[in-house]
Amino acid sequence: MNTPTAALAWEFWQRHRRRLIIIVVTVVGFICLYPKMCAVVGFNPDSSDAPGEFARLLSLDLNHPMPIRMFQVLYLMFLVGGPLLAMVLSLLCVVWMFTFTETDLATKNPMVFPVRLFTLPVSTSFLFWRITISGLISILGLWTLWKYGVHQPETFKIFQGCYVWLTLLVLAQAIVWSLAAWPFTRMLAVLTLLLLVLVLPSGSNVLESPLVMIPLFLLGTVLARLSLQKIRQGEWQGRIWSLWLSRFSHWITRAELRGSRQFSSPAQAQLWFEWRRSAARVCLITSTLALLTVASLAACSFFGYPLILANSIGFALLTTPLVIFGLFSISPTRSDLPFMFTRPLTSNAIVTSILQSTALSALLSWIMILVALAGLAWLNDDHSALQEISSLPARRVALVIGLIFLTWRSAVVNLSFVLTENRQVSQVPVWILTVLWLTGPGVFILVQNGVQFGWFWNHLSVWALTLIALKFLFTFQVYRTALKRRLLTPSTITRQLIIWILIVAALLATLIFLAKPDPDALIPACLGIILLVPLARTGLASFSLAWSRHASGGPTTRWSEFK
Amino acid sequence: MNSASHAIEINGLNRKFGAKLALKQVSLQVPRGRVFGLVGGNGAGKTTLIKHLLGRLTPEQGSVRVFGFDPVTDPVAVLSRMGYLSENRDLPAWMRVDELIRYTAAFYPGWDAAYAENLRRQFNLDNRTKIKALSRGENAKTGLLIALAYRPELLLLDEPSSGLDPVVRRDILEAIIRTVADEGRTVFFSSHLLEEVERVADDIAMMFNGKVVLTGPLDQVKASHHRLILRFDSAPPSPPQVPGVLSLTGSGREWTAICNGGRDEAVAAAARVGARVMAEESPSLDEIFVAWAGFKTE
Amino acid sequence: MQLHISAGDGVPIYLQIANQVKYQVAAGRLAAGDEIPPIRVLAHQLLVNPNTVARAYLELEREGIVQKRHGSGTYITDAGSPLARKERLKILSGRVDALLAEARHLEVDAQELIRLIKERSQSIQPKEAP
Repeated sequence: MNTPTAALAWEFWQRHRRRLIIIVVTVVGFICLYPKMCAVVGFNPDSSDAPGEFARLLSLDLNHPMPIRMFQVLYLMFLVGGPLLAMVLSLLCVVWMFTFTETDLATKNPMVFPVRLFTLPVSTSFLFWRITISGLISILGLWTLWKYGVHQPETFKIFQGCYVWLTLLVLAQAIVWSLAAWPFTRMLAVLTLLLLVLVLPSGSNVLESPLVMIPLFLLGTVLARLSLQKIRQGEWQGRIWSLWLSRFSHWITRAELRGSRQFSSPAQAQLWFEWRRSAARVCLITSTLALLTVASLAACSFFGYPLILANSIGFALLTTPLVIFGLFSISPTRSDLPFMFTRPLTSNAIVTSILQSTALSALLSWIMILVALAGLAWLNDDHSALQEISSLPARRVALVIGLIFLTWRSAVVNLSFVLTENRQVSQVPVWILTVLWLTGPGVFILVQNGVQFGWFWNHLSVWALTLIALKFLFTFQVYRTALKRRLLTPSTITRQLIIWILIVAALLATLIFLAKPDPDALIPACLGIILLVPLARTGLASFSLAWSRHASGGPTTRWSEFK
Repeated sequence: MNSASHAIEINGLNRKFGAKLALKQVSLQVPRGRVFGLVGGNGAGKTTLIKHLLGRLTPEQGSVRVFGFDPVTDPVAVLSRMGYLSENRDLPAWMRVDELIRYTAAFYPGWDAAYAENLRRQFNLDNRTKIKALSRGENAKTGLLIALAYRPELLLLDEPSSGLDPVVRRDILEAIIRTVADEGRTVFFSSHLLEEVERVADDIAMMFNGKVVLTGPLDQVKASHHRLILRFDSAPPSPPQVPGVLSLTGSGREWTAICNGGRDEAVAAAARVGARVMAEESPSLDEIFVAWAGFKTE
Repeated sequence: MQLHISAGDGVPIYLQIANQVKYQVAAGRLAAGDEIPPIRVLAHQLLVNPNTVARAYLELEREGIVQKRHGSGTYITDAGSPLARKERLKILSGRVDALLAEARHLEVDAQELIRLIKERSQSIQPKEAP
């Protein structure tokens, strides 16, 4: 490494190696495979009316049973929107990479500009121009590959313009660097920027006009350069905001503490701990996203812009909690486990408190989502996402209950992997999800080529019963080992079984009395519910926690120097 | 199974990390009502041993018992009798001081709220500060507060004074003394600040490379080591070898030897290599430690 | 009672405490009937183990310098004062031994040493006169 530029480039490569490789592989994969995938179905990506193509292909082959239809729809949706989604995600990733921030281990701040770069004998201008110009070139290159290498259907024009992405890069740099001392404000600003970019295709002619783009670009560049200078010189320390924030949190804690002087039991104290540690944050993020979305739509309608995407936003709101809870459950960063392990708590008590706080958080998030949906319906006058699904109010209630349960489940089911504090094991849920996501189109391609799955669909109930039998066998094994190792007492196991039975009964009642499905779908649905409610995996979570507590001695023990 | 005669009993403990043996056949008995100091350099295995006491590591060979309970199978029984101050200060960063006190109080029936409040005022800790905003010393004091407030039978400290200023170190020493002055309560702490160990420890154990090289009451340990000032008739050309001696330092004609036990044999051996004993003193714990560190034990 | 303990000295801490108490009695800073602090208080003050202080007190009690009265504390005995002169001489004889050892080391004999002591004593005297 002879020059500072080479050193910076090497550091960038080291930090983002895996991401860059994934992006390149994705682009190349799309360039090579996408035309073939389109040809399989007869989808013409160059046609100017992509939704029309979509509808046309959907109306073919109507005599496939329901699940095949679902795969068909998913596959076509992938063809229509997949390249676009991949392009947007990869460009966003590149934008983030060129804000050149990293996670600070000491303060656990996820986006911190590495101050050690300022100890190098280079000027701030040097740093800034090297980073920004390489960022602009990368975005230009990536965009060219996506635009001209992959024949994408022209669904959303707004993302096809390169200027938007270049401006987004400098604006993101400006926001991340100038608001470095106000992490919460910065998060809100970044989310707002993303929402504006992604949710306003109707204003595309406004954004593409050079009168808007060029000043924004210049503004972003100047602000980014100034904020880098300010980070270096240590100004804009955020005293005022943190003062207000501390007053706010003090007021909240006073309200909390006014209730009782002390906790009545260790279980209650542990539930409070889990709630404050993460469940409250997840609930807050979900609610804020939902309310912000509706608020920005309300602002749009107030200023006279038509609400084209209101229904899709409604559907997106319905899936947001699932995604967010799932994401939070996969991230293995729990820094307070060493503290918890020295409290006089059994591993099972810790897991129980996590489950309870997640349930509370799921319930509260969904209340806020329903409020947001109601707001959306009021804005939209006649349509609402829930109404689109079914006109029967009972079915809508059943759907919401089902979604609340799925939200809780998605957070809870990964516990047994995440609580081992082992990086490889914690990645397993991600792999499982990837495999599931790839199986769908794979199965559909097989069906298109004539492979019959009748032997599967006709005996669906039999397959479900087999899986349920396996589930109970597995549960039996887990509980037996737990009893032998004294991880769980018989009374705890009985309590878990009773709770499981109650949850299953409640869901079955919801299904039968509220959702009222078709008779031939009833049995598979009931069996599906029995399969979905996690039983063994909660016991397994206690195992993983106990393993992490007693056997590994902590995640740092094996790799760093031990004492 | 109630309180045994010893607070901590470790027998034949072995621990491997990968290929390296971190603990080699460690055996210790910590009697109740006394202060036990574990002394060793960095990498000697002190923290690994303490992790076994907390139940964070399962013994591969050997056994660990705290008040007769196994920390791995009975974590609640052990941890409810123990107050632990870790070197890493693992307190949850997002909590405030009063929330931490309130949370910890729920787990220990013997929690004395008035005593906790006294300690808080004495340590000058503001109730509303977040733990991540505390300085290093205040962090240590907060950890000490929640470990002391329920008067645990065993106070376990892992390098409590590391990186702290003298004022906070005094607070920690006072806490150790106060604990053991209450009848029957025990303190176990690991440190490499030997001056502090000399002040407050009743018994010590010294560890090097995962082995316990000596253990016993502090005054016995000190009494069994001697520092001999040797004067050679002529300056030896290469560093002299005196068998039976732990370490030999010096230059020219005067050398300082530290020996363990067999003082008469050491004097005789010195005479054989042509040296006279000029003076004989009692070494400090520091010198004993450095002598053992240089001595190749295998 | 002000004591000063140094931990890395080589002299055991309990002995340092006992010696300093004896010195203070000999120097008159602690009179017969004075109370010395309870074990816990002294342990806190000096930041040493209470068992060490207890051992020092045991040593002092054994030599008859202090006496423990039931329920009301530990006090300097009357027998402390006659030991004062003995104690003073003991302290000085320790210093004389060190001086003699050093003199032997520097090859100065005892006669020359005594002459030196008289000389120094005379030269210091005028300063103490007023």
